[in-house]
Amino acid sequence: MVNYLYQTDQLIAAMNAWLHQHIGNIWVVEAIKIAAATATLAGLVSVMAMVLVWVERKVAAHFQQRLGPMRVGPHGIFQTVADSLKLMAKESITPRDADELIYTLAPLICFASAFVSVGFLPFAPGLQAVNVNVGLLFILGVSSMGVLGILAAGWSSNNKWSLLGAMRAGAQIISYELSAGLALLSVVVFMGTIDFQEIVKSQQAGWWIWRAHGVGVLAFVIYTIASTAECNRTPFDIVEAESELTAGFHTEYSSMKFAMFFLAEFLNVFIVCAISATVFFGGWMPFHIGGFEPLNRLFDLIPPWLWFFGKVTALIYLVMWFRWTFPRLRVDQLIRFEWKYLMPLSLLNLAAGAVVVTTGWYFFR
Amino acid sequence: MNIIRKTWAAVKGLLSGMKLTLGYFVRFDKVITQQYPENRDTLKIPQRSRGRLELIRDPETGEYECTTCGICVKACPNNSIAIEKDRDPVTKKWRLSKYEYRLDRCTFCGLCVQSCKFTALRMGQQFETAVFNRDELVQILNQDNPVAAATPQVGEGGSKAEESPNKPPPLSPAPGIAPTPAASSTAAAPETAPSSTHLTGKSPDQPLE
Repeated sequence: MVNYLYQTDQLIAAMNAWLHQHIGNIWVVEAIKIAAATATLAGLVSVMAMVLVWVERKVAAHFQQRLGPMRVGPHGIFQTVADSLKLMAKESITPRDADELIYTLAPLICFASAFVSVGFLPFAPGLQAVNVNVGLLFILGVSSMGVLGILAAGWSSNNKWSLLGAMRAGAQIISYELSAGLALLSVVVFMGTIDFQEIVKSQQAGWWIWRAHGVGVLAFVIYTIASTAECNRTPFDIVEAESELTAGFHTEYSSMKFAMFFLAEFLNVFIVCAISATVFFGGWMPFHIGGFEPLNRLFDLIPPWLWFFGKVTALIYLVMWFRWTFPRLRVDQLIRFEWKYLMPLSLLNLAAGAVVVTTGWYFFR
Repeated sequence: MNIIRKTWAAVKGLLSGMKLTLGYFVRFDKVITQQYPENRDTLKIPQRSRGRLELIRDPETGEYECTTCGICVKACPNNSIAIEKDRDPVTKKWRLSKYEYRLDRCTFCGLCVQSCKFTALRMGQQFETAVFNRDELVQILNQDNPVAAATPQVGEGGSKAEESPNKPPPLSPAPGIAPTPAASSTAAAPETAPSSTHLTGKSPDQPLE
């Protein structure tokens, strides 16, 4: 039984065999698998969002020499529960001349694109809800649909400033997607595949961030900056900062619809950090140093999904560290930064990566 | 080349900022927040923090340093101070008969303290000043002055309420706070003798009922 904790692909295979054995009809088996995966992901997403909100508040507080939530439960661990109850109990107001259909659908679009993307992430050897051989491309495409939700929210609120905030958000997100994609592409030329399982397996000899030396580190930096901008987080959060356009595109939203936007934002942070962990840091691959067998055995004691969540947690901490250290960029500054500095840099990085790959000047080719 | 130099300078700046916040994150002893009211017994209030206004006594004679010049009354931006004074019949000097301080108007700006030439005022450390009856916020600061207590006074448009039977006892100062001169406010309105002078910032104002 403990073996299943580590060999999760055997666990999935065993569950699959059990289902096929006890239920003959393969359609029913597939339906049950889909339902089980959806339920697991939904549970995971909800719990993770709650934990992430609490972690964000505590981390923010300690970066600012204060304590954060301390009263609702020991060290405030039930604060997010209280916040969720509050959000659910609030009155859901629709502005008078708002486009009601789009107004209701917009948060769902944002949330759906984030939730679907979670299904593609490789948590452990067999633990991946959907495994297509174009996983990375698919996840980049689906998470881009969030822009539609933001634009729809800004337009349908019947509020000039929401529209302005939504337009700025749209411009920002589609600009930074370029750099993010190009940065990931620089590493894809090393890996030769965009299937998530193959990506992780290709890092058995070492993680790409140091195997593809300069190109890998630079790609990681570019991807971190670009994905921070994708998630509308400081220093690129001009769109939704409280002191700027009130609350940007989600000014007119209350109660559950606002909770959906909120949830989608935290899920996006999780997804980009998970992609970053998978592509640059080896996903669920433990940290092995070739030749140090005792050390490798020690690291193998940690199950693969714990490696995955550990790496994602470290990267989320890095993104939060950015948020509470840097001041905010103006919208023209951030657009200029993307188009005049970051995108040319990522194109150069891609060219350098192509040169390095064809000449074979990287570790463990 | 200039762009590379500027980029490198920018990166160094960003990293130094991150080092600073990391320093705050890992040093739990540097947290500034205090968990009030759990720490009420050991509360330490900074010395220059501005609490309720107090009159300063001369340590030797025990009398108030106030010379009733009225500068604090003029300096207060919103009429929170009113003074009544009368002449000592023996020495013919001005003496303070009533120093009225309105806690419901005070903005704790400290201009009265700054403007007092005789160091007769300070902003004390008492911050737990919530009361149940708004009339109690109009306070007489020279309570223990024997002269003020002995002089017979006639009631004015009484600003001070009598002791209501249901009023809870005033909260004693938290043990960590430096002791402040007692300045409870609910004595019956001591009013001045006919020969006194009534000093306020502007025309005499009725207290808010």
